[in-house]
Amino acid sequence: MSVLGRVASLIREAYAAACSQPVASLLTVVMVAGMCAGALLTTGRTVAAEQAALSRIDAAGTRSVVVRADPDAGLTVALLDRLFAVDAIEAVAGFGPIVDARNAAVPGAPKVATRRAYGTIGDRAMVALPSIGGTTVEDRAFASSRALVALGLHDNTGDLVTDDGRGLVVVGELAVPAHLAFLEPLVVVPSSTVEALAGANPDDPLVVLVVLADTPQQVAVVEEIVRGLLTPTDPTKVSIETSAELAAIRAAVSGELGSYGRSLVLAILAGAAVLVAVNNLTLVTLRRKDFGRRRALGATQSLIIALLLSQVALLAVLGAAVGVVTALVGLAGARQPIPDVSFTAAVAIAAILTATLAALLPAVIASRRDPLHELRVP
Amino acid sequence: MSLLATELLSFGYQNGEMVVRDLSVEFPSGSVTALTGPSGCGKSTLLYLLGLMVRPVGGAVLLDGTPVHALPDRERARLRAHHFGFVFQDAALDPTRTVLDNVVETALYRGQPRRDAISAAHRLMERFGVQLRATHKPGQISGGQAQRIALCRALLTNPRVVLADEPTGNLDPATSAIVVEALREHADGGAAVVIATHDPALAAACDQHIALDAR
Repeated sequence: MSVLGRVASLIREAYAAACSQPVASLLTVVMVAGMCAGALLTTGRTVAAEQAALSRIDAAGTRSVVVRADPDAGLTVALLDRLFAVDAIEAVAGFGPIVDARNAAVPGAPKVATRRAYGTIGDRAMVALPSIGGTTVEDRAFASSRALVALGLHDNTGDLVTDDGRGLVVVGELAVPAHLAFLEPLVVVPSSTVEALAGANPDDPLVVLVVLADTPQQVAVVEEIVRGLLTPTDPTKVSIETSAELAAIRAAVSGELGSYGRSLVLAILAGAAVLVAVNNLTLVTLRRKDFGRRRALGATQSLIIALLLSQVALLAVLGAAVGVVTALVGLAGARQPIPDVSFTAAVAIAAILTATLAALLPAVIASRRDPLHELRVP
Repeated sequence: MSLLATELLSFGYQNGEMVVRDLSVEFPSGSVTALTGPSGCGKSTLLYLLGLMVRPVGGAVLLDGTPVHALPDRERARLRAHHFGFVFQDAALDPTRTVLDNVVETALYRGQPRRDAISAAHRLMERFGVQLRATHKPGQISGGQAQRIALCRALLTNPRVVLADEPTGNLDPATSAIVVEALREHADGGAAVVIATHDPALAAACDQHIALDAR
């Protein structure tokens, strides 16, 4: 028989054995369900609250460093490529001086600030679009939804005219991430190239530079790096804002709740593991003749161990499913925060592994049953 | 060369009590051997020794002339699953499983597809008149039926050696005759059958008779 066939036979036998011992099986299911539900109703709720708090903090731009400069401060787009090469930096976005523009088709329409943009905004690289028809690379722009409304461009496209008399063509909508919301309403002319974030003119001035660190914890380091790379002609014309304080609060929230949650989950898992082990020890003791018979009829020790572990694993999967559903329904019913999928899955997997591992000692004991001792009739 | 044999086989418990001492005996292919003797003389222990369930303290168990008593546990289990059939004193059925499950239990240990084992099981159960009990639990059948089911389990793999511990001990004469006839037929097919029994008539009907002394 193939290995797959043997595994299928083993699982089938484990399932049949579990069904033939309803009381012990039910106890295992209840214990694992309790393990999962206990972890999710206590730590899970805490983690969900933590995730919600962190999400709110992150939305405020926990990872960003914002540099503002006057156009004549000496800050140029050449800096972008040097910053992007730093490991701790996830993304950079640079913006040139503002030029106001309005809808070319609506005389007297409200004006919106337009900027040259370099680097990355959200998922979109600010690479200059190739020339099409009569427009040039510098003519094409993207506008945020707020800008589109302000400009009256209901189809997300349209012509603009700038204060200096230049024409722009809005070719699509731009999703603005939370950490760049302070630039709204935003119209950008992508100006990087595939080869360089700085584009074709590395001496072009930057007035806003937004650097996104990989993690909140790296914001302070990134700030130092940015300061080190800035070489303004007049330092008084440059200012740096960071989210270091938010990052510190984030770290504190994450650390405090994380430590408490880990301890509680470990305690719940350990307690349930002891109960599962005792339950299976009792089962093995009560059914010692069963295991002695199996050994006599040709079951190897490893097969008996695999059989018992499979049996407990199957029950643990059922228990984990029951526990997770019960806990999530309970949390939803009580309008409590619900932990995310990854935490819930981690708890379920930990519960299944813990229960299975807890059955190892009873399984080893079962595998060593002596047929001579167990099967002899006085 | 005998199918199964012992050479100066000895076994004792941890308290030093010797149950089997320097026993050399052969169990040829096609033979039925009776082990007799008073209770506690070591009949069952000798069956467990022959069945490689325990290791002797001295001597050897030979299968096809090859010593097999000292093989690793995994190898001895494999031999039991593939070459031995056992009928225990009280049938030793799993009370929580159906009769059919009990009969095909050893398929798992041999790696035999369950479907094949079930077909063979139905044929054997029909032969021994217990086919209508296939879905019953052992608690729902009589002692005689349980012993016939244990016999089905033992013969399912057409084993080369059958070790039966008082297989007719709790049976009525008619059922005893069915069991003995089945074992005899199996031996006629080339197997070695060893029966521990208190029944003088059964012992007399066997090809070979080994009387163990009281300790």
